[in-house]
Amino acid sequence: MQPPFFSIALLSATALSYQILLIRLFSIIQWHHFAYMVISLSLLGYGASGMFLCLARDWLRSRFPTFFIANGLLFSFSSILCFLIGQKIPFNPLEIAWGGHQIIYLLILYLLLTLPFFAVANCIGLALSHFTKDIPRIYGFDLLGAGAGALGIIVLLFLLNPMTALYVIGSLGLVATAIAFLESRLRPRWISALLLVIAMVLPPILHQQDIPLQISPYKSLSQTLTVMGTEVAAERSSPLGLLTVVKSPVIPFRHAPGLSLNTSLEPPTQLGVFTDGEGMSVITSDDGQPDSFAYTDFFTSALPYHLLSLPQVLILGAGGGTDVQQARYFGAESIDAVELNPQMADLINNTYADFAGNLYAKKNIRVHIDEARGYVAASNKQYNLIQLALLDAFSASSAGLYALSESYTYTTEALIDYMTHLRPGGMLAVSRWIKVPPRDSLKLFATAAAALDGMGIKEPGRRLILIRSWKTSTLLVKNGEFAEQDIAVVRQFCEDRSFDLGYYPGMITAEANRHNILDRPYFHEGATALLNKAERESFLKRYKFNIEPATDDRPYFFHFFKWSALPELVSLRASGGLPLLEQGYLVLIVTGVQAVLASVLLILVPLWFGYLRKMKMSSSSIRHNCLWVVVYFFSLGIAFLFIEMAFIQKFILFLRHPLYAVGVVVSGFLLFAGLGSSYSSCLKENTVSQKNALIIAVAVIAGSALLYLFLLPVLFQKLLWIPGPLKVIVSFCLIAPVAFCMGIPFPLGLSGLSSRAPELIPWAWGINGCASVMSAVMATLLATHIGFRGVIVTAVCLYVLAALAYPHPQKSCHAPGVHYE
Amino acid sequence: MTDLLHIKPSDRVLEVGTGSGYQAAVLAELASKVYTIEIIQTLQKSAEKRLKNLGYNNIETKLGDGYYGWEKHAPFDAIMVTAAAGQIPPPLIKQLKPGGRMIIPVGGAFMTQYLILVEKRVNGTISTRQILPVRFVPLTGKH
Repeated sequence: MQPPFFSIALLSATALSYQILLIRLFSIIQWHHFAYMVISLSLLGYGASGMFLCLARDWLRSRFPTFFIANGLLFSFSSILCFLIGQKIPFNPLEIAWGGHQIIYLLILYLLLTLPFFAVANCIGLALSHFTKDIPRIYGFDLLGAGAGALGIIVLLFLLNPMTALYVIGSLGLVATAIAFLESRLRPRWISALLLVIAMVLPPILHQQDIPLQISPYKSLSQTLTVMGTEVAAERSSPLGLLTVVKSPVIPFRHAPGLSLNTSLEPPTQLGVFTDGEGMSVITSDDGQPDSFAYTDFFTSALPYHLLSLPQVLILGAGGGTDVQQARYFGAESIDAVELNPQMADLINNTYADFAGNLYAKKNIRVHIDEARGYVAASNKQYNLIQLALLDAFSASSAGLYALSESYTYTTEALIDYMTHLRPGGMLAVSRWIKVPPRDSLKLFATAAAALDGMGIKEPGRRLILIRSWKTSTLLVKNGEFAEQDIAVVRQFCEDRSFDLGYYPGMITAEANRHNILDRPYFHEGATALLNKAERESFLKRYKFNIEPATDDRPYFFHFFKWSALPELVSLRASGGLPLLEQGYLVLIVTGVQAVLASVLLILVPLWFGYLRKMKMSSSSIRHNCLWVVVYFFSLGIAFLFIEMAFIQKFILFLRHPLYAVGVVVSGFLLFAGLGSSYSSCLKENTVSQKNALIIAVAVIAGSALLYLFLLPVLFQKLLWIPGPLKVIVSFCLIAPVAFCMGIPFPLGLSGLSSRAPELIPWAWGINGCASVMSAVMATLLATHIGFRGVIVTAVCLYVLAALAYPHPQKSCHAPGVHYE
Repeated sequence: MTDLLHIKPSDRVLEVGTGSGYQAAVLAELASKVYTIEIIQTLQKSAEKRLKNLGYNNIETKLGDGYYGWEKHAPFDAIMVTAAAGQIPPPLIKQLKPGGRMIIPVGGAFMTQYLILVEKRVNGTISTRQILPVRFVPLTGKH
């Protein structure tokens, strides 16, 4: 009997598509950091399956085809049902800090969504332990399928909305089951035909039910829709996000972040545009009256327009177009507006073109659909002003929900990129929400100072100005030094609007904190300390939040949490201290702890008590093999995902969106690891050539991974301008050698184990799954502290450890007879 | 919040968000006249009746959008907003007397909001002070 290779490939493809789709769905109904939870839980399903197969191995041996088909069906239906049930669980991550029951909800959600992955893993795990001679080929088909799935889901999400994509994935599971039926030559054959028919009719039937996504009631969109008279006017969906346009005719939006309290001007009618139910941007109606946008003169972001005359402006993150309207109001000579999401630009260009006064059709405005950093790197143009828009929502930002969202827009390297595109005398303007105690604004200031240092500027302080309103701050970085007349303009601008001066060259403390009064002049004190080289380090160390400059290696601009501040924040919980805790970080910690506990409970404990104890532990082969099996498969589980996740981060910048990076990197790794796995089938079992292949593979992994640490930033910088499809090819070429070699150790280990102690194969599968669960969370936690370079170096060390643990062929025993009680 | 407004017996106070009318009653004990606005009709009607039954003759209620304040009775010595707003409404600042104080929670509903004390100086300039994180229902909602 042949293993059902094609069914395995398709099941792997759908499982991986499902994993990425869950990331999308959770970004919509909850927040981005659930991505980590989803990655973990899928691997937990794989680990738990290893345990199950281990315990039921004998029973399953004679029932392979039935069990395979049953699990294929389980995946198909549970992938849809588990998400729909999961939506009903009233989990609220914002409440974790004070509501213990939320941990229970999270655990239930975690276990519920594990089920589909458990089913798929059962299919693959059983095939691996049933067809031991075909391990490398099975593993190869598994990886190749998964690789195709990672790319396929991105295409699918461009064509369908996320809920319909979910139904299609469930149906593809049915198709895979039908194929398994045919490959296993089971009868009656009409069952496979029936499965195919169900697969075809299921998505349209479910689509017609119009089951809504139940977005957290605490997201901005849900909150806005509780306001009288609001209604959803339009929706657009793509892998880049779900855009929801909301109109509110009864209570106007009046979105004017940090508007000076000295003006009674109001914005014209606005439409709210939410991305994944958060980050509201607005499309403002333009009736052609010259003063319609006069209110934008009362934002802190208007300051550079008072210092520059008819500038050529680049706006990074155009969103609904408010910053573009502001630039127009001030008579900018030309405006380049960069927007990542083409559907957002389309709303202004087409759907609401009349409403927005045909904004993007104006002759001096050009819209570029691109990622901010990538656009700047690829452009040769020089500007008088580069504006970085304030696109994230204040509420989510202040709750720390973006704490673990990587952002390559606010890193030291990014600011250097922007500044090199400024004309002499030109300015970079970055606006942020005000938080008290200050976090974003000071971290941005520290990042700008580090960037100027990095450019070799001797006195960075002469090029920086920081102002703030009651709600927003704006940092100006000038290509050149600010002159006395510039400073006079800044002071007058602030005085007229009751804005506070945070920093300007030569400022004294008495000038700070006059209008929007804080306990201390935090902004001025912070800015001054950050510019003083002698004081900077001690200030960063003693400041209660992490405001060290963000870098491309640690791109967590929104991560401000310091463990040393935890006792104080907890002691302040009764007096409003809890909001200072970053909830994204908290969720990751909770997820990590849960993952470890669940791994131990579901994988290791049952295996130990239920399986190994049954074996006669006196068997020398078991004793000899236990230690290396644990070290080898645990190290591989951790290391594979460490490298994969670090590469996803490194490629985000190059591929210009996290989702593209996940799709291309994951599929690249899996495709080439699949080829590596297939190659390992050529090696004879339990021979010196296996050990040599392992050593060579680990050497290549270590060499290329470490080489990439230095090579990738330079290479990406040079190649940021190339078109998207070419970038995918370049990415695959870069991933190929390292991924090919990463595909070798696992099947090689299983293959080696099959000749030494085949009973341990499911255990090894379980240990690997257990390690993978932990590694998904550990990689992010490690990266926030030691950066992605540190993560890669750790992974390389683990690969070396695995190679050292692998037993030498000559010392191993031949396949022993294992006795059961 | 009441304490931060430094209310004197002669003051005219505007409250945005009548709710049950409890806070209006507290203010009425301290000030000469209280004007209170509620956007939800059933709440406004029941609070009006309740306050009348309790004998608060110095409280006037109105159904409307608190964002625009109550121009007819402006300016006010103090303004208290008892629901969270995304912005500090400019009409309320305009209706504040020089030397007057306004207390308002600002931020997203059910998210971190900050209680902000707004003071209009005698010369008409504005200053703000963040007091502490708080949590209120939205200024304009069905709640």
